Amino acid sequence: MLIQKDLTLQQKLEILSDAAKYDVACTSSGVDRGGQSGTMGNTASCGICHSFAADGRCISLLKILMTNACIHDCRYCLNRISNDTVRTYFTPEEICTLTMEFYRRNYIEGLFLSSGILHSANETMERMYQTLWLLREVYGFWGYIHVKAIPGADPALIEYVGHLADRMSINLELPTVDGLKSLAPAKSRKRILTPMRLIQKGIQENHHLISDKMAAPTSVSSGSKAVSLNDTALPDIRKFPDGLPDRAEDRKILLPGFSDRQNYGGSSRFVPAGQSTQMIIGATPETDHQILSVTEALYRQFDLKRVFFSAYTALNDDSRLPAPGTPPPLLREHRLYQADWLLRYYGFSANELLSEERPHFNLLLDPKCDWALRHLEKFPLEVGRADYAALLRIPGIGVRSARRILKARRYGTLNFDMLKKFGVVLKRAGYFITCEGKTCRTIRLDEDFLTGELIADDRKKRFQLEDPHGRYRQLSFFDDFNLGGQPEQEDIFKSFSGQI
Amino acid sequence: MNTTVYLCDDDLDSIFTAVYDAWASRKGHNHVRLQMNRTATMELFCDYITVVPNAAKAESVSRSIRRKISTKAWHMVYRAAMSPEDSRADDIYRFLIGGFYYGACVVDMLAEPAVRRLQELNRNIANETHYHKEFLRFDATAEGILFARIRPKGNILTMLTPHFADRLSGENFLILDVGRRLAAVHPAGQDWYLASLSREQAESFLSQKPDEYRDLWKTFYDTIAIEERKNPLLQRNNMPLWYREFMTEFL
Ligand code: SF4
Repeated sequence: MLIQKDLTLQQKLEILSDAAKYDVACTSSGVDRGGQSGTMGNTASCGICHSFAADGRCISLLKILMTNACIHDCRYCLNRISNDTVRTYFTPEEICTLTMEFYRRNYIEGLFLSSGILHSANETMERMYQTLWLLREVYGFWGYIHVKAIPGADPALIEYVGHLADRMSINLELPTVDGLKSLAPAKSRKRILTPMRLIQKGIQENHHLISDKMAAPTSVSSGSKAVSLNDTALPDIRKFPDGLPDRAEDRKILLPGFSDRQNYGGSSRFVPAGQSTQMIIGATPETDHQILSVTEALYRQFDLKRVFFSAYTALNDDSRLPAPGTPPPLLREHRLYQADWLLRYYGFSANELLSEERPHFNLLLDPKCDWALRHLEKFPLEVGRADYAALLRIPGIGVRSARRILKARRYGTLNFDMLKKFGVVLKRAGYFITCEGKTCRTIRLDEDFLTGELIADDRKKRFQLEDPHGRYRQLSFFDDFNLGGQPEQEDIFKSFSGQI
Repeated sequence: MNTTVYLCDDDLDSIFTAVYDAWASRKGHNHVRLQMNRTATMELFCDYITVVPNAAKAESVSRSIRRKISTKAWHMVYRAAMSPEDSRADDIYRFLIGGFYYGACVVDMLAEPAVRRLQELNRNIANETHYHKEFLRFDATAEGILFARIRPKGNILTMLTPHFADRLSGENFLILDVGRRLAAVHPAGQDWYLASLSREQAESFLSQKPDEYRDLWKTFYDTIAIEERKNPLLQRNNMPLWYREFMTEFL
């Protein structure tokens, strides 16, 4: 594989952002950190989008690969070694300069750094660490950093990186072990879940780490010297052949010496914005039920902040994959995001929404309507009395409108006009509620009838969103801005118009 | 009885003075109305009074809101006063009627139309401020000064600038509200302040040379979109055309 060295910064940026764009996470949320004199940047926990690309997706971070060179051959990936493409890399200084200069101009909230595997997982992770160290310590960058952990990298390296980043992620890539085996033989479930667990532990233990001051800079001698992409003097990293020492005490001493102001995490200094992951949808035959169950398990067992879904864009010509030109399953991706939303904010579980007998979402209905139609015995509900959890399960009532209902109930009686002003979508909710004993339309709790009505309502949205070539446009979201705290900025842009 | 209309200007002092005068007139809340001077169309059976801004009266209203209602209510009123709505002075007046009657809990009384209206103005101005946190773009001059132009509907500079002053504390920057010719000026490492610019001053900023990072940003912006997912409608919903006037990627 030939690495092109004499490209301009602009050419490199084009190649390395192009190669990074299929990673869907571009969020800058999860940590509130005020500015500090002598540094540049702060972060807002709701996250800030800075632009929207022609595909309608939010641009929040400078999303790039450190290099698109890779020793692996994951079938779905454009950077796989068997593809004949121009390979290049950024030097750490180039990444720092781009980040700083873009940030100053308010183009971005920070950096999203991923990478192909250069020679080895360790070498790649080490390079990434050096880049982040330079950015934080020398350039004084205080904004948001999301970095990929490279599966198979030394746990110590991953921990080092975790002290410089706000968010880390390791992509699960495919929802099942079989999928992974067939498309990404170099990545096993174990290789992916091990660092995920490590980061989770790091986040949990962080409270102990921050209570003691970090050790002063230790001069560490490098084991195997990394192949340098340039010769900037950067901190060396001691290699731990057996991973990190068990005792937290020992581990602390081995942490690189950050200056005092390096306490950029506020209350937390290890991956303060938590970790996320991503699954590719539609490259392998998994069901929605499988995907959603895995998602739920990731939230529960690994405390993930977010699970992202990426509708597979068929670009590689490969017998194991959908043929090139197959449109990405955007509507399916959208239904999964809606369901994910239901898991995180609405108190639903995966098995309530789907089952082995019914493993896929009805693409024509949002998952909450779908659920309500199968539980008509719970309706109609009286909004004057229903508790918060019950309100959230009514189609057409969202987090914000449910809260407003609770608030308003304390000071007086409700009526349908008020509900409308609170953002309740009566077109949907009207079939399922009473308000002070009154109904706003004739309630006919008949599954076939309601399914027809609700699909018709949903279709209008889908039709607006379906382009002439029959591809589904991604549906857009909530009118809810970050006033009530909760839903994160990026959720808002990924959710339905109106309330689900 | 004729309705008395108090005509006031855009600034906070003027709006608060109007509140003071209307209240003190003891004509009864149903017989007074506040209106923005700029937008006033004369009606029959109304008496018109042009409010003379008075700092002492304004301060007294301001203090009463804080003491008798709450600081939160004061912030709500302030933000509403910065909104572009023509009805804002009267909306504030109606809100204060309830506020002085019920006290601090008024802000949660969403069943009251006047409270909902004030909330709505607040939400709109908060949204507009947030949009500008996202979409505002600085250009760096050769001397390294950051310069941004915006054309907000509401008067958002005082709500917007603290965000940038916090993150860019070490930078010299200036944000110019082109329509109002009002600028927030932030000298590196110091407090920021507002300045009203003359037409010539404002224009001298408008004719700045483009910055070398523009092209890099455009390259990134164009590359990051996935062709197979093109969706101009969604893009427009998320980023209304109104905000694109000064955005680097559309220049
Ligand atoms: S390891 Fe990453 S960059 Fe390399 S081929 Fe696999 S997915 Fe692509």
